[in-house]
Amino acid sequence: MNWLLKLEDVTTGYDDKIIVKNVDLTIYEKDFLGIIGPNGCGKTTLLKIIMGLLEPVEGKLIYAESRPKIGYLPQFLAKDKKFPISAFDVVLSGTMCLNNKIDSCKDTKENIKRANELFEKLGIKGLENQNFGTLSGGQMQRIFLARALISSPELLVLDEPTTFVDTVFTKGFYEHLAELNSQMAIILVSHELGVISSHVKNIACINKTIHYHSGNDLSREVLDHYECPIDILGHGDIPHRVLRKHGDN
Amino acid sequence: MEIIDLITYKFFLKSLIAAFFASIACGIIGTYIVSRRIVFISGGISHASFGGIGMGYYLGIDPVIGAAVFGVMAAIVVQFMSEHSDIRQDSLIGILWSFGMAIGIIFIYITPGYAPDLMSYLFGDILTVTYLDVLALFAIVILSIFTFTFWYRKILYISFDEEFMKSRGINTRIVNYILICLVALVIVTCIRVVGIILVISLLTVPQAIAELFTDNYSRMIVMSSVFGFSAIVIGLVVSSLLGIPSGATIIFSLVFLFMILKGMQSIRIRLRLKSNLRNTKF
Repeated sequence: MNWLLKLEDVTTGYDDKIIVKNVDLTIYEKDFLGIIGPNGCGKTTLLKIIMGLLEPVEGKLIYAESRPKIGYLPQFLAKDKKFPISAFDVVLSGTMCLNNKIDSCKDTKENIKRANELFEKLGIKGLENQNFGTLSGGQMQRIFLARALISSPELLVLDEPTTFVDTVFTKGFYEHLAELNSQMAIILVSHELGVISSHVKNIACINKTIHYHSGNDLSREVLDHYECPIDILGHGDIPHRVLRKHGDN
Repeated sequence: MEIIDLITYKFFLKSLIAAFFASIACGIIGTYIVSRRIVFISGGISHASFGGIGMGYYLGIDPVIGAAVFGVMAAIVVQFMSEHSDIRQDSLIGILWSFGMAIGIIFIYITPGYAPDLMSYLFGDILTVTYLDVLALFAIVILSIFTFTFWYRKILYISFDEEFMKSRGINTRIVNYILICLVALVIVTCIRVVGIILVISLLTVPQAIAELFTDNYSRMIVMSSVFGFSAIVIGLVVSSLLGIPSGATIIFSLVFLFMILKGMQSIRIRLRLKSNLRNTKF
Protein backbone atom coordinates (compact mmCIF):
# COMPACT_ATOMS: atom_id res chain seq x y z
CA MET A 1 0.00 0.00 0.00
CA ASN A 2 1.33 3.46 -0.90
CA TRP A 3 1.72 5.93 1.89
CA LEU A 4 0.88 9.62 1.81
CA LEU A 5 2.70 11.01 4.78
CA LYS A 6 4.67 9.88 7.79
CA LEU A 7 5.43 11.25 11.21
CA GLU A 8 8.80 10.08 12.47
CA ASP A 9 9.50 10.23 16.17
CA VAL A 10 7.60 13.51 16.48
CA THR A 11 7.56 15.41 19.75
CA THR A 12 5.79 18.72 20.05
CA GLY A 13 3.85 21.09 22.29
CA TYR A 14 3.16 24.71 23.04
CA ASP A 15 5.67 26.99 24.75
CA ASP A 16 7.55 24.82 27.25
CA LYS A 17 4.83 22.18 27.51
CA ILE A 18 5.18 18.86 25.73
CA ILE A 19 1.83 17.66 24.43
CA VAL A 20 2.76 14.62 22.33
CA LYS A 21 5.93 12.62 22.50
CA ASN A 22 7.80 10.24 20.17
CA VAL A 23 4.95 9.70 17.75
CA ASP A 24 5.45 7.45 14.73
CA LEU A 25 2.51 7.33 12.39
CA THR A 26 2.01 6.53 8.72
CA ILE A 27 -1.03 7.58 6.74
CA TYR A 28 -1.69 5.42 3.69
CA GLU A 29 -3.61 6.20 0.55
CA LYS A 30 -7.32 5.54 1.10
CA ASP A 31 -6.65 4.82 4.74
CA PHE A 32 -9.45 5.47 7.23
CA LEU A 33 -7.70 6.18 10.48
CA GLY A 34 -9.64 6.83 13.64
CA ILE A 35 -7.79 8.75 16.33
CA ILE A 36 -9.14 8.39 19.83
CA GLY A 37 -8.01 9.57 23.21
CA PRO A 38 -9.15 11.43 26.31
CA ASN A 39 -9.62 15.22 26.41
CA GLY A 40 -6.42 17.21 26.28
CA CYS A 41 -4.34 14.23 25.19
CA GLY A 42 -3.09 15.91 22.03
CA LYS A 43 -5.53 14.79 19.35
CA THR A 44 -5.93 18.20 17.77
CA THR A 45 -2.21 18.91 18.23
CA LEU A 46 -1.44 15.75 16.28
CA LEU A 47 -3.77 16.86 13.48
CA LYS A 48 -2.04 20.21 13.35
CA ILE A 49 1.31 18.52 12.86
CA ILE A 50 -0.10 16.28 10.13
CA MET A 51 -1.45 19.34 8.33
CA GLY A 52 1.77 21.27 8.77
CA LEU A 53 0.18 23.95 10.95
CA LEU A 54 2.51 23.21 13.83
CA GLU A 55 6.22 22.48 13.61
CA PRO A 56 7.46 19.47 15.54
CA VAL A 57 10.02 20.27 18.26
CA GLU A 58 11.74 17.02 17.47
CA GLY A 59 11.27 14.47 14.72
CA LYS A 60 9.86 15.18 11.28
CA LEU A 61 6.92 15.11 8.95
CA ILE A 62 7.65 13.44 5.61
CA TYR A 63 5.51 13.47 2.48
CA ALA A 64 5.61 10.62 0.00
CA GLU A 65 5.88 13.08 -2.87
CA SER A 66 4.72 16.60 -2.28
CA ARG A 67 2.31 17.84 0.37
CA PRO A 68 -0.96 16.04 -0.34
CA LYS A 69 -4.09 18.09 -0.91
CA ILE A 70 -5.74 18.27 2.50
CA GLY A 71 -9.39 18.99 3.19
CA TYR A 72 -9.84 20.05 6.80
CA LEU A 73 -13.04 20.05 8.77
CA PRO A 74 -12.24 21.84 12.02
CA GLN A 75 -13.76 21.14 15.39
CA PHE A 76 -17.08 22.89 15.23
CA LEU A 77 -17.05 26.25 16.92
CA ALA A 78 -19.69 28.92 16.81
CA LYS A 79 -17.81 31.32 14.59
CA ASP A 80 -18.67 35.00 14.55
CA LYS A 81 -22.42 34.86 13.89
CA LYS A 82 -22.42 38.25 12.22
CA PHE A 83 -19.52 37.66 9.86
CA PRO A 84 -20.63 38.95 6.45
CA ILE A 85 -20.17 35.80 4.35
CA SER A 86 -22.60 33.60 2.45
CA ALA A 87 -22.71 29.81 2.71
CA PHE A 88 -21.64 29.62 -0.93
CA ASP A 89 -18.54 31.70 -0.30
CA VAL A 90 -17.59 29.52 2.67
CA VAL A 91 -17.64 26.48 0.38
CA LEU A 92 -15.68 28.33 -2.31
CA SER A 93 -13.00 29.20 0.23
CA GLY A 94 -12.01 25.54 0.00
CA THR A 95 -10.69 26.17 -3.51
CA MET A 96 -8.02 28.62 -2.41
CA CYS A 97 -4.59 27.88 -3.81
CA LEU A 98 -2.40 25.28 -2.25
CA ASN A 99 0.87 27.11 -2.64
CA ASN A 100 2.43 29.96 -0.78
CA LYS A 101 2.36 32.44 -3.61
CA ILE A 102 0.65 35.76 -3.16
CA ASP A 103 -2.12 35.64 -5.68
CA SER A 104 -5.78 36.38 -5.95
CA CYS A 105 -7.09 32.85 -6.57
CA LYS A 106 -10.03 33.64 -8.78
CA ASP A 107 -13.21 31.64 -8.76
CA THR A 108 -13.21 29.72 -11.97
CA LYS A 109 -16.42 28.49 -13.53
CA GLU A 110 -15.28 25.00 -12.69
CA ASN A 111 -15.10 25.78 -8.97
CA ILE A 112 -18.56 27.30 -8.99
CA LYS A 113 -19.96 24.27 -10.80
CA ARG A 114 -18.30 21.95 -8.31
CA ALA A 115 -19.66 23.98 -5.39
CA ASN A 116 -23.17 23.71 -6.80
CA GLU A 117 -22.76 19.95 -7.15
CA LEU A 118 -21.71 19.66 -3.51
CA PHE A 119 -24.69 21.68 -2.31
CA GLU A 120 -26.89 19.23 -4.17
CA LYS A 121 -25.07 16.14 -2.97
CA LEU A 122 -24.88 17.08 0.69
CA GLY A 123 -28.50 18.12 0.89
CA ILE A 124 -27.86 21.79 1.50
CA LYS A 125 -29.32 23.15 -1.71
CA GLY A 126 -31.17 26.40 -1.23
CA LEU A 127 -28.79 27.66 1.46
CA GLU A 128 -26.25 29.08 -0.99
CA ASN A 129 -27.06 32.74 -0.48
CA GLN A 130 -27.86 32.58 3.21
CA ASN A 131 -25.54 34.22 5.66
CA PHE A 132 -23.40 31.52 7.24
CA GLY A 133 -24.08 32.74 10.78
CA THR A 134 -27.82 32.14 10.43
CA LEU A 135 -27.48 28.40 9.72
CA SER A 136 -28.08 25.58 12.17
CA GLY A 137 -25.26 23.44 13.59
CA GLY A 138 -25.93 20.56 11.20
CA GLN A 139 -26.12 22.86 8.19
CA MET A 140 -22.87 24.55 9.17
CA GLN A 141 -21.16 21.17 9.48
CA ARG A 142 -22.37 20.17 6.02
CA ILE A 143 -21.10 23.46 4.61
CA PHE A 144 -17.74 22.82 6.24
CA LEU A 145 -17.68 19.30 4.78
CA ALA A 146 -18.43 20.76 1.35
CA ARG A 147 -15.61 23.26 1.87
CA ALA A 148 -13.23 20.43 2.74
CA LEU A 149 -14.33 18.34 -0.26
CA ILE A 150 -14.44 20.96 -3.00
CA SER A 151 -10.74 20.67 -3.77
CA SER A 152 -10.98 16.87 -4.17
CA PRO A 153 -8.48 16.30 -1.40
CA GLU A 154 -6.26 13.24 -1.12
CA LEU A 155 -6.59 13.43 2.63
CA LEU A 156 -9.68 14.46 4.55
CA VAL A 157 -9.06 15.50 8.14
CA LEU A 158 -12.06 15.60 10.47
CA ASP A 159 -11.80 16.91 14.02
CA GLU A 160 -14.76 15.76 16.13
CA PRO A 161 -17.20 16.36 13.29
CA THR A 162 -20.36 15.23 15.06
CA THR A 163 -20.02 16.87 18.46
CA PHE A 164 -22.79 19.42 18.08
CA VAL A 165 -25.20 17.68 15.76
CA ASP A 166 -28.03 15.21 16.24
CA THR A 167 -27.90 11.45 15.72
CA VAL A 168 -29.83 11.51 12.44
CA PHE A 169 -27.20 13.80 10.97
CA THR A 170 -24.40 11.67 12.42
CA LYS A 171 -25.67 8.47 10.81
CA GLY A 172 -25.95 10.00 7.34
CA PHE A 173 -22.62 11.71 7.82
CA TYR A 174 -20.71 8.49 8.49
CA GLU A 175 -22.40 6.72 5.59
CA HIS A 176 -21.23 9.53 3.37
CA LEU A 177 -17.69 9.24 4.75
CA ALA A 178 -17.59 5.53 3.94
CA GLU A 179 -18.48 6.43 0.35
CA LEU A 180 -15.80 9.14 0.20
CA ASN A 181 -13.20 6.73 1.51
CA SER A 182 -13.06 5.02 -1.87
CA GLN A 183 -11.54 8.23 -3.26
CA MET A 184 -9.45 9.62 -0.42
CA ALA A 185 -7.71 8.87 2.85
CA ILE A 186 -9.59 10.01 5.94
CA ILE A 187 -8.38 10.83 9.42
CA LEU A 188 -11.18 11.08 11.93
CA VAL A 189 -10.72 12.32 15.46
CA SER A 190 -13.56 11.41 17.73
CA HIS A 191 -14.43 10.30 21.19
CA GLU A 192 -17.54 8.55 19.95
CA LEU A 193 -16.08 5.09 19.92
CA GLY A 194 -19.36 3.47 18.93
CA VAL A 195 -19.19 5.05 15.53
CA ILE A 196 -15.48 5.18 15.14
CA SER A 197 -14.69 1.49 15.33
CA SER A 198 -17.48 0.42 13.02
CA HIS A 199 -16.36 2.71 10.22
CA VAL A 200 -12.60 3.05 10.38
CA LYS A 201 -9.92 0.74 9.00
CA ASN A 202 -7.24 1.47 11.57
CA ILE A 203 -7.20 3.02 15.00
CA ALA A 204 -4.63 5.13 16.77
CA CYS A 205 -5.05 5.76 20.44
CA ILE A 206 -3.28 8.84 21.65
CA ASN A 207 -2.46 9.82 25.17
CA LYS A 208 0.76 11.84 25.12
CA THR A 209 2.18 9.15 22.89
CA ILE A 210 0.56 7.01 20.25
CA HIS A 211 -0.55 3.41 20.06
CA TYR A 212 -1.33 2.32 16.56
CA HIS A 213 -3.72 -0.53 16.07
CA SER A 214 -4.12 -2.02 12.66
CA GLY A 215 -7.68 -3.04 12.06
CA ASN A 216 -10.84 -1.83 13.75
CA ASP A 217 -11.67 -4.67 16.16
CA LEU A 218 -11.21 -2.58 19.22
CA SER A 219 -11.61 -4.74 22.27
CA ARG A 220 -11.30 -4.06 25.93
CA GLU A 221 -8.09 -6.10 25.98
CA VAL A 222 -6.59 -4.11 23.15
CA LEU A 223 -7.25 -0.84 24.91
CA ASP A 224 -5.99 -2.14 28.22
CA HIS A 225 -2.86 -3.26 26.51
CA TYR A 226 -2.42 0.20 25.09
CA GLU A 227 -3.21 1.85 28.42
CA CYS A 228 -5.81 3.97 26.76
CA PRO A 229 -7.98 5.42 29.50
CA ILE A 230 -11.21 5.77 27.63
CA ASP A 231 -14.74 4.43 27.55
CA ILE A 232 -14.89 1.26 25.59
CA LEU A 233 -17.56 -0.44 23.60
CA GLY A 234 -18.60 -3.80 22.34
CA HIS A 235 -19.56 -4.76 18.83
CA GLY A 236 -22.88 -5.91 17.56
CA ASP A 237 -25.92 -4.39 16.02
CA ILE A 238 -26.42 -2.15 18.98
CA PRO A 239 -23.12 -0.75 20.20
CA HIS A 240 -22.97 -0.85 23.97
CA ARG A 241 -20.58 1.02 26.12
CA VAL A 242 -18.87 -0.34 29.16
CA LEU A 243 -18.26 2.72 31.24
CA ARG A 244 -15.21 1.56 33.01
CA LYS A 245 -11.95 3.32 33.58
CA HIS A 246 -8.52 1.79 33.64
CA GLY A 247 -7.32 0.51 36.93
CA ASP A 248 -10.80 -0.43 38.10
CA ASN A 249 -10.34 -4.09 37.27
CA MET B 1 -22.59 81.83 6.52
CA GLU B 2 -24.86 80.40 3.84
CA ILE B 3 -24.30 76.92 2.40
CA ILE B 4 -23.87 78.32 -1.09
CA ASP B 5 -21.10 80.62 0.18
CA LEU B 6 -19.41 77.64 1.81
CA ILE B 7 -19.16 75.62 -1.36
CA THR B 8 -17.56 78.43 -3.26
CA TYR B 9 -14.69 78.56 -0.80
CA LYS B 10 -11.67 76.75 -2.12
CA PHE B 11 -10.70 75.31 1.25
CA PHE B 12 -14.16 73.87 1.58
CA LEU B 13 -13.89 72.07 -1.73
CA LYS B 14 -10.55 70.66 -0.62
CA SER B 15 -12.18 69.41 2.56
CA LEU B 16 -14.93 67.76 0.53
CA ILE B 17 -12.38 65.92 -1.59
CA ALA B 18 -10.55 64.84 1.56
CA ALA B 19 -13.86 63.63 3.00
CA PHE B 20 -14.52 61.61 -0.14
CA PHE B 21 -11.17 59.83 -0.02
CA ALA B 22 -11.28 59.35 3.74
CA SER B 23 -14.70 57.71 3.60
CA ILE B 24 -13.61 55.25 0.90
CA ALA B 25 -10.44 54.32 2.83
CA CYS B 26 -12.41 53.94 6.06
CA GLY B 27 -15.17 52.02 4.28
CA ILE B 28 -12.69 49.42 3.05
CA ILE B 29 -10.37 49.16 6.04
CA GLY B 30 -13.17 49.60 8.57
CA THR B 31 -15.01 46.62 7.11
CA TYR B 32 -11.84 44.57 7.53
CA ILE B 33 -11.37 45.78 11.12
CA VAL B 34 -14.98 45.13 12.13
CA SER B 35 -15.31 41.71 10.50
CA ARG B 36 -11.90 40.60 11.78
CA ARG B 37 -12.81 41.92 15.24
CA ILE B 38 -9.69 44.01 15.62
CA VAL B 39 -11.40 47.27 16.53
CA PHE B 40 -9.49 47.43 19.80
CA ILE B 41 -6.17 46.80 18.05
CA SER B 42 -6.95 49.67 15.71
CA GLY B 43 -7.80 51.94 18.65
CA GLY B 44 -4.42 51.05 20.15
CA ILE B 45 -2.56 51.78 16.92
CA SER B 46 -4.33 55.12 16.59
CA HIS B 47 -3.43 56.27 20.10
CA ALA B 48 0.10 54.89 19.89
CA SER B 49 0.68 57.07 16.83
CA PHE B 50 0.45 60.13 19.09
CA GLY B 51 4.02 59.29 20.09
CA GLY B 52 4.97 60.06 16.50
CA ILE B 53 3.12 63.39 16.57
CA GLY B 54 5.20 64.45 19.59
CA MET B 55 8.37 63.17 17.97
CA GLY B 56 7.53 65.12 14.83
CA TYR B 57 7.20 68.34 16.81
CA TYR B 58 10.47 67.69 18.59
CA LEU B 59 12.44 66.87 15.44
CA GLY B 60 10.79 69.62 13.44
CA ILE B 61 9.32 67.26 10.81
CA ASP B 62 5.69 66.86 9.76
CA PRO B 63 3.94 65.27 12.76
CA VAL B 64 1.85 63.09 10.41
CA ILE B 65 5.02 61.42 9.15
CA GLY B 66 6.04 60.74 12.75
CA ALA B 67 2.57 59.33 13.39
CA ALA B 68 2.85 57.07 10.35
CA VAL B 69 6.15 55.64 11.61
CA PHE B 70 4.78 55.08 15.12
CA GLY B 71 1.49 53.68 13.85
CA VAL B 72 3.12 51.14 11.57
CA MET B 73 5.59 50.18 14.30
CA ALA B 74 2.77 49.65 16.79
CA ALA B 75 0.88 47.57 14.20
CA ILE B 76 3.88 45.33 13.56
CA VAL B 77 4.56 44.92 17.29
CA VAL B 78 0.95 43.90 18.00
CA GLN B 79 0.97 41.41 15.13
CA PHE B 80 4.34 39.97 16.04
CA MET B 81 3.62 39.68 19.75
CA SER B 82 0.24 38.08 19.25
CA GLU B 83 1.92 35.39 17.15
CA HIS B 84 5.04 34.86 19.21
CA SER B 85 4.27 35.73 22.77
CA ASP B 86 1.86 34.53 25.40
CA ILE B 87 1.03 38.05 26.60
CA ARG B 88 -2.70 38.73 26.36
CA GLN B 89 -3.45 40.70 23.25
CA ASP B 90 -5.70 43.23 24.95
CA SER B 91 -3.13 43.86 27.68
CA LEU B 92 -0.50 44.44 25.02
CA ILE B 93 -2.78 46.90 23.24
CA GLY B 94 -3.37 48.70 26.54
CA ILE B 95 0.38 49.02 27.00
CA LEU B 96 1.08 50.32 23.48
CA TRP B 97 -1.93 52.65 23.63
CA SER B 98 -0.75 54.48 26.74
CA PHE B 99 2.97 54.18 26.00
CA GLY B 100 2.56 55.95 22.66
CA MET B 101 0.52 58.71 24.26
CA ALA B 102 3.13 59.10 27.03
CA ILE B 103 6.00 59.42 24.53
CA GLY B 104 4.00 62.02 22.63
CA ILE B 105 3.31 64.10 25.73
CA ILE B 106 6.95 63.99 26.86
CA PHE B 107 8.23 65.10 23.45
CA ILE B 108 5.72 67.91 23.16
CA TYR B 109 6.69 69.06 26.66
CA ILE B 110 10.43 69.15 25.91
CA THR B 111 9.94 70.83 22.54
CA PRO B 112 10.70 74.52 23.07
CA GLY B 113 7.82 76.89 22.44
CA TYR B 114 4.18 76.31 21.80
CA ALA B 115 2.86 73.29 19.87
CA PRO B 116 0.62 74.71 17.18
CA ASP B 117 -2.25 72.61 15.78
CA LEU B 118 -1.93 70.11 18.61
CA MET B 119 -5.70 70.11 19.08
CA SER B 120 -6.23 69.44 15.39
CA TYR B 121 -4.22 66.22 15.66
CA LEU B 122 -6.17 65.11 18.70
CA PHE B 123 -9.64 66.07 17.55
CA GLY B 124 -9.17 66.71 13.84
CA ASP B 125 -10.01 69.71 11.70
CA ILE B 126 -11.02 68.80 8.19
CA LEU B 127 -11.15 72.45 7.14
CA THR B 128 -7.41 72.80 7.59
CA VAL B 129 -6.34 69.84 5.44
CA THR B 130 -3.51 70.63 3.08
CA TYR B 131 -3.00 69.52 -0.51
CA LEU B 132 -0.40 67.12 0.80
CA ASP B 133 -2.98 65.56 3.15
CA VAL B 134 -5.40 65.13 0.24
CA LEU B 135 -2.65 63.57 -1.83
CA ALA B 136 -1.77 61.16 0.99
CA LEU B 137 -5.44 60.21 1.34
CA PHE B 138 -5.66 59.64 -2.41
CA ALA B 139 -2.59 57.39 -2.33
CA ILE B 140 -3.94 55.33 0.56
CA VAL B 141 -7.31 54.93 -1.18
CA ILE B 142 -5.58 53.62 -4.31
CA LEU B 143 -3.47 51.27 -2.20
CA SER B 144 -6.53 49.99 -0.29
CA ILE B 145 -8.59 49.49 -3.44
CA PHE B 146 -5.70 47.69 -5.10
CA THR B 147 -5.11 45.39 -2.14
CA PHE B 148 -8.77 44.55 -1.68
CA THR B 149 -9.38 43.98 -5.38
CA PHE B 150 -6.35 41.80 -5.83
CA TRP B 151 -6.75 39.86 -2.57
CA TYR B 152 -10.50 40.13 -2.02
CA ARG B 153 -11.21 36.43 -1.58
CA LYS B 154 -8.06 35.76 0.35
CA ILE B 155 -8.80 38.56 2.82
CA LEU B 156 -12.42 37.49 3.19
CA TYR B 157 -11.57 33.85 3.80
CA ILE B 158 -8.66 34.51 6.16
CA SER B 159 -10.84 36.87 8.18
CA PHE B 160 -13.50 34.17 8.37
CA ASP B 161 -11.32 31.18 9.26
CA GLU B 162 -7.57 31.70 9.34
CA GLU B 163 -6.79 28.19 10.60
CA PHE B 164 -8.51 26.63 7.60
CA MET B 165 -6.59 28.80 5.17
CA LYS B 166 -3.36 27.75 6.85
CA SER B 167 -4.35 24.12 6.41
CA ARG B 168 -4.62 24.87 2.68
CA GLY B 169 -0.98 25.87 2.70
CA ILE B 170 -1.70 29.58 2.35
CA ASN B 171 0.73 32.01 3.89
CA THR B 172 -1.72 33.96 6.03
CA ARG B 173 1.07 35.70 7.91
CA ILE B 174 2.10 37.95 5.06
CA VAL B 175 -1.52 38.97 4.47
CA ASN B 176 -1.94 39.74 8.18
CA TYR B 177 1.17 41.93 8.30
CA ILE B 178 0.37 43.85 5.12
CA LEU B 179 -3.20 44.50 6.21
CA ILE B 180 -2.35 45.60 9.74
CA CYS B 181 0.16 48.08 8.27
CA LEU B 182 -2.52 49.30 5.87
CA VAL B 183 -4.85 49.75 8.86
CA ALA B 184 -2.18 51.89 10.56
CA LEU B 185 -1.66 54.01 7.42
CA VAL B 186 -5.38 54.61 6.92
CA ILE B 187 -5.72 55.64 10.56
CA VAL B 188 -2.81 58.05 10.29
CA THR B 189 -4.02 59.69 7.08
CA CYS B 190 -7.46 60.15 8.61
CA ILE B 191 -6.06 61.83 11.73
CA ARG B 192 -6.31 65.21 9.98
CA VAL B 193 -10.00 64.60 9.35
CA VAL B 194 -11.31 63.60 12.78
CA GLY B 195 -8.25 63.33 15.02
CA ILE B 196 -6.51 60.53 16.89
CA ILE B 197 -9.16 60.22 19.55
CA LEU B 198 -12.13 60.08 17.18
CA VAL B 199 -10.72 58.24 14.17
CA ILE B 200 -11.78 54.81 15.39
CA SER B 201 -15.44 55.72 15.06
CA LEU B 202 -14.93 56.56 11.38
CA LEU B 203 -13.76 52.96 11.00
CA THR B 204 -16.59 51.31 12.93
CA VAL B 205 -19.81 53.34 12.94
CA PRO B 206 -20.34 53.37 9.13
CA GLN B 207 -19.92 49.58 9.20
CA ALA B 208 -22.41 49.26 12.06
CA ILE B 209 -24.90 51.24 9.94
CA ALA B 210 -24.15 49.18 6.81
CA GLU B 211 -24.67 45.99 8.82
CA LEU B 212 -28.29 47.00 9.32
CA PHE B 213 -28.84 46.65 5.58
CA THR B 214 -26.49 43.95 4.32
CA ASP B 215 -24.58 40.84 5.33
CA ASN B 216 -22.40 40.84 2.24
CA TYR B 217 -18.76 41.86 2.64
CA SER B 218 -18.30 43.87 -0.55
CA ARG B 219 -21.67 45.57 -0.21
CA MET B 220 -20.70 46.45 3.35
CA ILE B 221 -17.60 48.21 2.02
CA VAL B 222 -19.60 50.25 -0.49
CA MET B 223 -22.44 51.12 1.90
CA SER B 224 -20.18 52.11 4.76
CA SER B 225 -18.22 54.38 2.41
CA VAL B 226 -21.48 56.07 1.40
CA PHE B 227 -22.69 56.45 5.00
CA GLY B 228 -19.26 57.67 6.10
CA PHE B 229 -19.20 60.28 3.34
CA SER B 230 -22.73 61.49 4.11
CA ALA B 231 -21.91 61.90 7.80
CA ILE B 232 -18.67 63.76 7.10
CA VAL B 233 -20.45 66.16 4.74
CA ILE B 234 -23.28 66.73 7.22
CA GLY B 235 -20.75 67.28 10.00
CA LEU B 236 -18.69 69.59 7.83
CA VAL B 237 -21.64 71.79 6.89
CA VAL B 238 -23.20 71.85 10.36
CA SER B 239 -19.90 72.62 12.08
CA SER B 240 -19.19 75.49 9.68
CA LEU B 241 -22.66 76.95 10.08
CA LEU B 242 -22.68 76.68 13.87
CA GLY B 243 -19.00 77.38 14.38
CA ILE B 244 -18.34 74.20 16.39
CA PRO B 245 -15.44 71.70 15.98
CA SER B 246 -15.77 69.67 12.78
CA GLY B 247 -14.28 66.36 14.01
CA ALA B 248 -16.71 66.08 16.89
CA THR B 249 -19.64 67.17 14.71
CA ILE B 250 -18.80 64.49 12.12
CA ILE B 251 -18.77 61.76 14.77
CA PHE B 252 -21.94 63.13 16.33
CA SER B 253 -23.73 63.01 12.94
CA LEU B 254 -22.44 59.49 12.33
CA VAL B 255 -23.64 58.11 15.66
CA PHE B 256 -26.91 60.03 15.39
CA LEU B 257 -27.51 58.51 11.95
CA PHE B 258 -26.77 55.07 13.39
CA MET B 259 -29.17 55.49 16.31
CA ILE B 260 -32.03 56.67 14.10
CA LEU B 261 -31.60 53.86 11.56
CA LYS B 262 -31.11 51.24 14.27
CA GLY B 263 -34.24 52.47 16.05
CA MET B 264 -36.24 52.35 12.83
CA GLN B 265 -35.04 48.81 12.17
CA SER B 266 -36.03 47.65 15.66
CA ILE B 267 -39.51 49.10 15.25
CA ARG B 268 -39.89 47.47 11.83
CA ILE B 269 -38.86 44.06 13.21
CA ARG B 270 -41.32 44.36 16.09
CA LEU B 271 -44.16 45.32 13.75
CA ARG B 272 -43.35 42.40 11.48
CA LEU B 273 -43.33 40.02 14.44
CA LYS B 274 -46.73 41.28 15.51
CA SER B 275 -48.21 40.79 12.05
CA ASN B 276 -46.64 37.32 11.88
CA LEU B 277 -48.20 36.46 15.24
CA ARG B 278 -51.61 37.42 13.89
CA ASN B 279 -51.24 35.61 10.59
CA THR B 280 -49.47 32.39 11.56
CA LYS B 281 -51.67 29.48 12.55
CA PHE B 282 -50.44 26.09 13.69
